[in-house]
Amino acid sequence: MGAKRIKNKRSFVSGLIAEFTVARIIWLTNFRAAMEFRTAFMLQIVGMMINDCAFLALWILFFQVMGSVNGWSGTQIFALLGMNLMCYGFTFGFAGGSLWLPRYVEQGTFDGFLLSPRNLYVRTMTSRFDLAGLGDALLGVILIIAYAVITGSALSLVWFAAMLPATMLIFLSVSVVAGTAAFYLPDSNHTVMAVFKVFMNPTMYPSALFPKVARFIFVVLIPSLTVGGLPVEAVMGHSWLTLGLVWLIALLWLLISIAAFYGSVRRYESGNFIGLRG
Amino acid sequence: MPAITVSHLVKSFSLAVRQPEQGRLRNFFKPEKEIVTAVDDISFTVPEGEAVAFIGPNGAGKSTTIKMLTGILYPTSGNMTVAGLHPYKNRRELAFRIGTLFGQRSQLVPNLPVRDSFELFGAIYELSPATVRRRQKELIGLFDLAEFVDRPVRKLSLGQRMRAEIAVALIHKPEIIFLDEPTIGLDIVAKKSLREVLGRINREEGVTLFLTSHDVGDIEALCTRTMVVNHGRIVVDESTDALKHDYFAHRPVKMVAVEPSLEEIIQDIYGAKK
Repeated sequence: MGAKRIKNKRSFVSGLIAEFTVARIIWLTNFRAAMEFRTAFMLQIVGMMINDCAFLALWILFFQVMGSVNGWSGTQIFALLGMNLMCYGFTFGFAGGSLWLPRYVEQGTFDGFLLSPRNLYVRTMTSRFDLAGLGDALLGVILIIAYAVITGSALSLVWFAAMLPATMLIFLSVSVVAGTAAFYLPDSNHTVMAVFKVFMNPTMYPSALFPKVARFIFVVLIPSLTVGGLPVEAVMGHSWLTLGLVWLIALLWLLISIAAFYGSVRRYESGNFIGLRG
Repeated sequence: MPAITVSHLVKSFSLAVRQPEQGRLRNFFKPEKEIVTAVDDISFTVPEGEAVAFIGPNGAGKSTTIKMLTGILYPTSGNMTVAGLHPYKNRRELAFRIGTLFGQRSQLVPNLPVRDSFELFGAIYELSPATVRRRQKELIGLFDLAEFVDRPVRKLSLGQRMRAEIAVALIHKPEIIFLDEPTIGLDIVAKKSLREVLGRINREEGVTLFLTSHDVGDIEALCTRTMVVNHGRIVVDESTDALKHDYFAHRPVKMVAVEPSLEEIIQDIYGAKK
């Protein structure tokens, strides 16, 4: 009697494949659910792309007036913004659960993930996806291709592709670490978003604008430059060292986020949220 | 092997308590902490196949106990096993073997038909597509879902949704089902039909039921044993029949009504409308 499908004898790799197979099905189900409201879906994607284009136009105007800054010009902004948008869009387009963590904890809906027979980290992170993120990702791909065309370097596409998974891991990991504040602070949604923005906002600025101390802080302590500025520098200089550094920081942050997440889950207190208005 | 064993289980929460005489700044930076013991040294055993009611007033510790037994909450101290597994240490293995229904929570996908939730949960429990189809067919029949299984969950009535909730929770044929207020908000007819199905699963398939409810009808219809919990402690643990006889101020008298009861009249009306 009962579905005695205990999978604890799996190897790490087959376990991981099983988790991502289920995550893919969950994502497709969420996508189908979003498709029930097609107009809202399209509006979010198009709206986000227009918003991003306005930001791009602003930077291009800036460099037209200022000329190049430490080797950075409008062309590099295509790469910077493209990398950022792909990174943000693909990360939260596939694993947007980290941004929902404060709501899950506050409303007690985190219970559902603890009752699921899946890996808690993967299940939680893949529980949601950000529709607008797909618009970001699409524009990001267009901008990276535009950069490759402008610079005449098809090889740069390979460099960006080699760095994208690492930058996505950093984005995800930092959002998870920020999200774990929800296990310690009541009503933490705004706090978590504010903390995450400390990391996210500098990702949109050229690394050339950061003096040495700030550069150290935003690479080592708050890894904002590793998802924007550093990847562009690596592509510009074909720097294996920078590529390696970005991957090293990504793996470190992944480990930190896993430790922070599982360490915090023990503090989860559940609850029966009814939706009182304060 | 017992389905559930609990030994000296304790769960405490720490709460910041505002002291009006302390002033706002002190309350903000150095709040007083109060330890609230929601579950206070409880022990019990539930044999396989038993249907147990775990009842008590609001805040007695019922839901906290269920949440510890299902691996949601980490206990402060004490030991427990469910299906021979430690709920928190073996959370994933346990999830394959238990089913849960929290009356105030939904696990269905709101914008998609109920059928999609069957498929999603089948994938989550790693059932083959053929097994999902077979179980889906069985559960649609058992819970009488055929009429609305292709309707989006958000368009279902509460009764229909609850039937769908429990059907989806059973897709992996759990050995033990934890039910926290399963009939909350349901009308008499929906309650009756849900109780009948749960009773049948317990009797025919030997599934252990662990139920909390404020509805005495649920307990009488389903549970042979009742534990009463208050202030985190079990104050009564005996058969439901004995409980009725021992704790009612007056002895129950069985009567056969010539006129139908109000409940029967309402059921007749609902039945006629259906």
